[in-house]
Amino acid sequence: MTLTLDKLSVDRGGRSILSEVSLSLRRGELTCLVGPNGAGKTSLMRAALGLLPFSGTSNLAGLAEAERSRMAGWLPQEREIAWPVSVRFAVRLGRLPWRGISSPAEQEQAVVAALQALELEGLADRQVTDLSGGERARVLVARLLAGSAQCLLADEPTAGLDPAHQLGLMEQFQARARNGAAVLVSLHELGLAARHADRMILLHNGRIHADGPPASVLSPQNLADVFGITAWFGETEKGPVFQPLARLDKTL
Amino acid sequence: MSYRLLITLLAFLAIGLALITLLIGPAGISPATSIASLLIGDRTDIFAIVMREIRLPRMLGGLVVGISLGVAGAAMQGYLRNPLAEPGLLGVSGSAALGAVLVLQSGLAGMFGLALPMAAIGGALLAAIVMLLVSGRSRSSLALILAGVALSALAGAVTSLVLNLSPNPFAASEIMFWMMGSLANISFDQLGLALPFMVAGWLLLFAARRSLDALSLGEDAAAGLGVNLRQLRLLVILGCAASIGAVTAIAGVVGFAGLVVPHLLRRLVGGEPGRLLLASALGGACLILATDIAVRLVAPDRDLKLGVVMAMIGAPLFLHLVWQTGRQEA
Repeated sequence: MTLTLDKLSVDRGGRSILSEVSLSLRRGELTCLVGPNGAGKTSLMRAALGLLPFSGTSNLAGLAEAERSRMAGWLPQEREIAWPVSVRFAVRLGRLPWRGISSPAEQEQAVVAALQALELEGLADRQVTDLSGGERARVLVARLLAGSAQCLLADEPTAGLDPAHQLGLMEQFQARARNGAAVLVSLHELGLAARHADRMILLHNGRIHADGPPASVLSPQNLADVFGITAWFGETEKGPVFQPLARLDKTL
Repeated sequence: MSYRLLITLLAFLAIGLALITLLIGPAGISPATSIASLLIGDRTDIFAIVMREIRLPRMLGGLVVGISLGVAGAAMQGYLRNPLAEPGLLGVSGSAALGAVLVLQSGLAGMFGLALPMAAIGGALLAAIVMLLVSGRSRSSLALILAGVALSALAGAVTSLVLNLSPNPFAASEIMFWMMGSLANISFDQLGLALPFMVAGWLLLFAARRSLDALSLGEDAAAGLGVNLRQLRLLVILGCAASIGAVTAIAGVVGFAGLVVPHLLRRLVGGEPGRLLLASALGGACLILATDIAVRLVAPDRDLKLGVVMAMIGAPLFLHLVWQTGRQEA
């Protein structure tokens, strides 16, 4: 089971945030959700999980909480860890939906694997309050990956990370997709999205403006219409490279 | 320190302090006589009556009051993700006090022994219902804090109004003394009334421990991990109302322990909100029993109030802690 939305709309305070968004994620694909600030990326993910009131249908939101939390992992944008807990404890929280279903050994194995994937073994017994912002972000991604859900939704997981860790995270999401998960990641770094996405969804004013492979979604026309920029897009031996060049409308 | 070791130490400390509270009091009975009278004294033995009717219920009262304050404080801090939170924030202790004050003022308390504790528990449960109705629609805990502040203010104002309009200075001073909190007059009848509410409250709050763990990551992430936020709020409000209402019913207004105990123990349990519940329960029992010992040792003949002494010792301790934390962060 992946995520399927049909005519999902969200209104807040009389303003339409999302209107009639329909999409279906596919297993094995890393889908990047892009769009300007306020396009509705976060609302789309939250509504899809049933964390926000909406009209239309979302298959995940229809599930009971416990079942949904095993089907779909959710990484919010806010990197909150309220107490001085250990890194290991924070990552273990990702296994909460599986308590009583997986054996304790399986639970611990998933935690160790997630710590290894994010190169956090050395920090496992440190307090999260003593970590840098980037390390904290990785702890929370490890928490998400520990959950072993078949559908992953991550809201701007790469924001504020250095380039090496941004690439590292995207590789992790890609690896999850290759293992059969459906992964939806929202991003502002279009270059990063272009490099790693199998599929890109461009959101503009609460509607899907374009949906397809990165090269077609990041067309000059779409970039001008949605972001108001020109950009260079090229294929290199390392894959596609995307670089914004200039703003079209200086009155922004 | 490992969690198991900490829990074992706290449990032994609580038991030790409980035994000490049995051995001290104005009757001046020697420890050996105390124990002998408690265990094998017959009905004509005056020491046995003191031990069984006064000291034993007082000790048990201190134990359950401390457990309730500790567990409710830890649950509130975990739920609101704020180390400054305490059970009184929900307005339950203020409303419980108001219920008791109305009974004291009207003279009902004198006519029927259990009228006061029943009114206090009733006040707390009424406050819980109001909290659930007012904050029920929103998922966020902010509405809960605001509603609690408003409810506390209202209960406090009505309590002051009762004192203000009281035609009887004796009733007014009785109310004032009652509000300072004390374990001195706890009877087995009162314990029998309060204990079921306390135990129900403990169970509700312990049922929330995994959800409180998940809430460390924020409300949105917790919801993503399968936590039903509405159900969690119901557990926390009803759990705190039942246990803190029952505390107020038998011991008056005892603040501070709910704030300080989780704070003192947080680092020792590795910050985990779920584990802090049990540690705080035991720590709360230790603090209340130790304070009650101090109350009886410092001025045995003056009936010092528990709430007063606890704040006198606890507040400077707490200031020191805040100062130390500030220095570490600087």
